[in-house]
Amino acid sequence: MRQERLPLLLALALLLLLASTCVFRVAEDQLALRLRFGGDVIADNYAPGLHFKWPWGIDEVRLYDRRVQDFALLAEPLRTRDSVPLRTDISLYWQVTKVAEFHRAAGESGSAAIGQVAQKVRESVRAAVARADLNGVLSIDADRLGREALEAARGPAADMGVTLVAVQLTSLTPGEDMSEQFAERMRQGFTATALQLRAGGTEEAQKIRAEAEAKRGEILARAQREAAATRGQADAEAARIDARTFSRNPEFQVFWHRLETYRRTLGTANDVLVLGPDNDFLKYLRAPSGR
Amino acid sequence: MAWNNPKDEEQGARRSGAGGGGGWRGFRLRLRGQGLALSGLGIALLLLLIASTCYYQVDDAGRGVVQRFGRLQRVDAPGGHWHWPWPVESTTVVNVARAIELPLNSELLTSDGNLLEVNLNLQYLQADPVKALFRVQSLDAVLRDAGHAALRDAIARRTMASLLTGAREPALDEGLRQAIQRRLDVFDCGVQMRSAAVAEIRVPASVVAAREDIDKARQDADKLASDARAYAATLVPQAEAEAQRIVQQAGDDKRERVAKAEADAARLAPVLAEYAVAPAATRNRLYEDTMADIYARSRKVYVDLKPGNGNVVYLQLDKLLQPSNAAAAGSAATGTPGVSIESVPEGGTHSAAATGPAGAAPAIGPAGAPPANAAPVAAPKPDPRLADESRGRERGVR
Repeated sequence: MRQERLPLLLALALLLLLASTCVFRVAEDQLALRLRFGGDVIADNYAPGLHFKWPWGIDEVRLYDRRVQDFALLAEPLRTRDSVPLRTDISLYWQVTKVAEFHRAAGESGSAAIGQVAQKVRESVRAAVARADLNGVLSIDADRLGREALEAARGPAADMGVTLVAVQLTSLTPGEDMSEQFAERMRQGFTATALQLRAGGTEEAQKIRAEAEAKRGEILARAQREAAATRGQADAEAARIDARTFSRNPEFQVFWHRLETYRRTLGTANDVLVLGPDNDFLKYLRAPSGR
Repeated sequence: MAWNNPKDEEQGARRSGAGGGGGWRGFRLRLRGQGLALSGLGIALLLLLIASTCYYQVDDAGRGVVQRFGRLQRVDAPGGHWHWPWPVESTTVVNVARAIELPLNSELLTSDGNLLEVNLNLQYLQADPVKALFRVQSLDAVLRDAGHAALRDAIARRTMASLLTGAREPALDEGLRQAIQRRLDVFDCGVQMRSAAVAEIRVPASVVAAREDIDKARQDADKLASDARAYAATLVPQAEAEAQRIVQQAGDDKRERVAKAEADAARLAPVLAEYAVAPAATRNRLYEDTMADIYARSRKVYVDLKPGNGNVVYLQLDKLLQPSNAAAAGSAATGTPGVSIESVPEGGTHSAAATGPAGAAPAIGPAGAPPANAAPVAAPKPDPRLADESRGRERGVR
């Protein structure tokens, strides 16, 4: 019984296997291509889902990713107009839109073929950077640069059935051994700033001191003024008292004060009086008559 | 790499499906060996196994994206769901509600050509699970590139100084978020930027020392200024105190002066009264008192020199004045009238007389010597009235 059934079962299995090669699945993120005898493209507009084809040996299906993919250009050397070496990373985003053309152009190499498109992008960016000096490059509008590079590469990409989605400049740093030179420049800048800060501190300190001293001078001057006025008042007061005292005898006032002055100025141990023979003070020393 | 998580789950699901298949084959072989008695149970178990691959759970933050033969079928909400077993349907659970974090680190040039290292933290949502799954090959790469590009752009627009100051502009973060979102929108990949936050901006390690010197310089400058301020803070109050002292002194002087004037006036009142009665006598008396005082306290040189007698007296005035300072203190202190010509130290010792020009000049007697005849005399003037007069003088001063 089993030996009778075996060929039947084998034939059935073979048939099933053949039938399974007549069905193919296209995922939501895939593009499919049906090839007749491994060469001519029969159909290329398959929606996602289950599709039928002629069995193995006749039709062949190729699946491609329809999602946006990125191609990175890393550490691309650039040189500005003033010969500053820079390095840049560029991301190129692309998508297969015409699968038949992409299949024809890229073939088995697949996404690696996008390198030719990337070359265009690289050249475009390099040319834009070479047109500007360092400051110009730093202030470059990276979005516009990306758009320009994208435009430049659009044609070659379209020839491959590829649409370019975006070109992004993700990094732009000093290239080659320029890092140390940039660092040195920064160090110099920092040193200058530090010097400036210290000078500013000294200046401010001097200003504060000068202001304080000016204020001090002002305060003291005001005090001196006030003191002088007070002393003037004292003089006036004393003079007034004196004048009142001597109001009836102005001549006696002079006499009195002059005697005071003599006493104060002459009557000290420092003075040496040289007395002549006619000195009135000594007249009684000479004779009781005074002559 | 959160993007990969749903993929991993999917692959896990597929693997478990394949494992089920292997178990099925082994089971069947065993059935063969033991006969058909258990075949009914075997089929039931097999169905159960297949059924178990048809059930899946979608967590609260996720959405189940179901593909039937690769074609998008539906998107399941959180909860338990059934789908057809492999190879008909497959489900990928995408996290839509939980923010995914992506830290970026980059070395960038500022607008003034300085190199900075920046850490940027991104948070994003895969708001649209279908787009997140099918629009781009690597969501992670797209986000990284968009983040780096936006950051590079933002840093290149700013100076190093503005970026390094402690208080960074809050607009920087929000601007970055928007710039990244704008870049993502080009891809229509269903990603929503929750936030972009610059976590750290630092200078490259090789210039850190120079950079730190700025902080030190700032401290130095602050110190200088604060020292000056401290100086000013003491100087002004000192000046005010000094000013107060000056004013006060003037006030004191004034009071003293006025008091003295009033005292003088009071003292004068009797004198004036007397003067009114006997002017001449009062004047003479006052004059004599004063003269007595002056003569008593002064040193004196008597020169008997009549015009035309032919003698020349040589008086060394500087010598006369020289000892005055030394003598002054002594004589003032003792109250003794110092009377001398030559430098005579206090106490009347005569040693100096030998050095003086004694021979040339007419005899010059030291203090205390009796007056010589017909010669210039320098004599002490013992004054019997001394006591009275000095009293009178003191009265006069008062």
